[in-house]
Amino acid sequence: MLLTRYVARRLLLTIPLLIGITLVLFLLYNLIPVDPVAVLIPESGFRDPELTAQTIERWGLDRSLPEQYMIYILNLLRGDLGISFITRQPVMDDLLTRLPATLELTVCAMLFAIVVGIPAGLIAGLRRGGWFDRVTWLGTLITASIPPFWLGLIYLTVFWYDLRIAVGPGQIGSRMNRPEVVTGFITLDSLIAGDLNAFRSGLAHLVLPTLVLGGFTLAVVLRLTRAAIIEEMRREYIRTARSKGLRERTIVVRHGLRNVLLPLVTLLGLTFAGLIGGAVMTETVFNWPGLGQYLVQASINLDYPAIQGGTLLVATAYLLVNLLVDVLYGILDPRVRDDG
Amino acid sequence: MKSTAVFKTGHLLMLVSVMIALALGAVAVGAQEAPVIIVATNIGDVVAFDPAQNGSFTTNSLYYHLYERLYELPANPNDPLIPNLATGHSVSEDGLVWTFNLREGVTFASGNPLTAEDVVFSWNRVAGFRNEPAQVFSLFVDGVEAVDPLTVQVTLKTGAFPVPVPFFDVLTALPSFSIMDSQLVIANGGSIDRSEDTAGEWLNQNSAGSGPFILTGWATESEVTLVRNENYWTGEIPAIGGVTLRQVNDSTTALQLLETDDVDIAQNLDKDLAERISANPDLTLQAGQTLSIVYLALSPSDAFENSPLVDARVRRAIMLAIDYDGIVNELLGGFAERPAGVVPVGILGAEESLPYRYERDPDTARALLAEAGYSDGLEITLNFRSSPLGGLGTDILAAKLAADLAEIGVVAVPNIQADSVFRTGRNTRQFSAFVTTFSADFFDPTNWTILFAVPGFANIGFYIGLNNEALQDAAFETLFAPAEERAAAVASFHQMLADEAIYSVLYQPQTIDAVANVVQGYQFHPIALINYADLSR
Repeated sequence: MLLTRYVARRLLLTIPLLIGITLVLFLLYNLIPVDPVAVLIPESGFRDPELTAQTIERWGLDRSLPEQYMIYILNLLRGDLGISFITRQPVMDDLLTRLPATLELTVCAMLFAIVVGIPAGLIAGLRRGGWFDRVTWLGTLITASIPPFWLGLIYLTVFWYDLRIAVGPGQIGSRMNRPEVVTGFITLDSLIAGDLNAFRSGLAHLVLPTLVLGGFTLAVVLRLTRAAIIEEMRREYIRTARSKGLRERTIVVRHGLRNVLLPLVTLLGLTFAGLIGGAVMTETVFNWPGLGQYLVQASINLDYPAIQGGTLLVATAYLLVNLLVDVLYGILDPRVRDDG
Repeated sequence: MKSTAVFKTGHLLMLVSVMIALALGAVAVGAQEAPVIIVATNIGDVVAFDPAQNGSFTTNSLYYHLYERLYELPANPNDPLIPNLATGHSVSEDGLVWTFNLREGVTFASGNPLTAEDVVFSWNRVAGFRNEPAQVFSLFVDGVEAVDPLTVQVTLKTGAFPVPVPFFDVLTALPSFSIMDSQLVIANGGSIDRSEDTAGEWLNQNSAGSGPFILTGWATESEVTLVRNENYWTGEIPAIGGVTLRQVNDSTTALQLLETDDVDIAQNLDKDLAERISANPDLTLQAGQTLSIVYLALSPSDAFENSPLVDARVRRAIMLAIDYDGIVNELLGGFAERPAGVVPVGILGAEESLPYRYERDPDTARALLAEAGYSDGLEITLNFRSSPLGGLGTDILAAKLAADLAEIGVVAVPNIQADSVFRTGRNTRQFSAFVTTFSADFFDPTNWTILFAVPGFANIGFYIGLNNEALQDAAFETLFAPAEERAAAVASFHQMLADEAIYSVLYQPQTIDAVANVVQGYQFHPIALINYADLSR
């Protein structure tokens, strides 16, 4: 099968999935016992019939359910996710304002997991049973089993509040001026503004949340790499390579590692989308003004348009990353294309 | 001798010039480095920085520093109003027409002079947008016009009240009556017509006022920055260079940031941190008296099937069973007041009403229940919203009330709901008993008396199906009574309210701020919260 046809087929498959997600979200909305009018109108205006009628019309609350669903879908296609009950802003704008902070943290966490996790996994796997293997086994067990909000609190208390060797919560030092928003990424924006102090502060503020958010992914990546390399090094082709007299280093990097990368791509794709969801806890603890905090607030206040929009965004991110992984797989391993 | 003298003169000259240089340097440094006060707080309620769009707790407090009004509310709401942009006013005999004289020589931060046109533009814009801030205006005001550059004429209407509101000057002190620089707002897309106005985005990052500070930025749920207005028309330019509000969600984190010198003030902290703040020699605990109340409402309406609350004796028994002192002292650490009724402490008539306050009396409560035929006890559902009530966790308060009521044989089943679910249930009259909080729109006793007693006008009486004419008359009496008898009218309203046993005010919370000792001049204000203009560091 041609690669383009393969990609097109995968893309088509995501459409029913997306429709399914929107339908579930829409139906859930109608199960919650909230009268949007009561939420939208200020306390003292509730008995103002003119204002009530206006609100009902403006939000299309007097239509039938299928009609409301159609309105919802048509708005979605135009990129309109509705207006948040709480912020009174378009949900799309709200999400886009907060997305960069979450992405910045997520990318850092991902890089941390890859840069540390893969080499450490290799070393642990190659020296199986050695002291390094044992130490990483214990370390990954701990980071993978402690919930991130708890770990975040501990890190903050120990490294910031007690030892004063790390900076506190937030995206940038409290007494520091935020650089002008260009990309929304605080490190990039401070570089664009040429403010090196803000850049340093921004980087320093990324350290602890990255450790917390990336810790779990790191553990998974490390364990997977370790298991995969142990598996690969037992294979016949490695023995052949050895018998050919290749250097051990070449064998590991050029032959073993290549085959380990394949399952890692799947794993990393899934965890990247998962990280965006996992950022909810981390952002709350670290006072990080990202999507996570927004969604927590939205859930507490039952701000349904915001919950709907946020859920749709995370779900779409999952679908897209899955798609990307499938495509990458198709490129890396042509056999996959034929199977589909 | 002579040469020494010359030598000395030379020295002196040098010394003087060095001193001048130093002084100049100090001035230059001082101007550049006027300290910025960093406040850890919650700015999550900010929706917009446009007085016509948003009147949240945080924005209202900041409008106070960015904008000014005809009159200003003093820190103690019982003190007389402070004339600011107006020097005085006169009222027509029928009370319908109010004429305000504006102060001469007031300029906005932009340098534009403040005129009657600015007042007309600002108020009409708020009213025309029909958002939350328009409420008070549209209830009482028919129209506003400029007579000449320094005279504004306001025509009031009746309807909300049976007479034109006799204290309209008090209303002009509200944040929603802030005066904007109409030229500047129009230049940035502003209009009194909501459909044509495009100034919102600009106003979210800038201000157009005459106050001691200027808004220089707002990042959603992250920070708000103000700098001082170097052109402040009074000439009393603030000693601090500016204020930055930082979003910190959690009280403990906010206090930790203060302890590590990352911020200067931690605002609105949880009560359980009070001891830790007091124990720190570098910090000062500042308690501020809010004007909000947390109250229990019991519906006397027979619209609820088999509701035992229809019997006033049952309602009274419930109110007598509550351990009010325990709530204030144990649960709130003493950081709360206990007003007699719905009118909070600090407002006209609250003090005169104290004899009618409920005090705990379980024996009388049990006797009342027996008299009403409930000697075996009864069950009610108490509805709560989930977010904290005046700084106290809803679950804690619900447990306390359930325990108190259990002592007289009343089983109070708590039903804690998400805020919007709670609002829906209450607004559609599904609750015969609920506990919630109320913050006033304006600081005249009628904002409480009429709102709580008259179902036709406002909501709280409506929510519980209240239809008690004697109580309505008593509420209106707090409006009609001559000035010197209003306090007594408030007291007799509270007396009747206590007999009817419909509302019981559990507490009037205080806020707790922790302030670094290097910050001088802190004073709490019920709307502005902190008087930033008087701070120094």
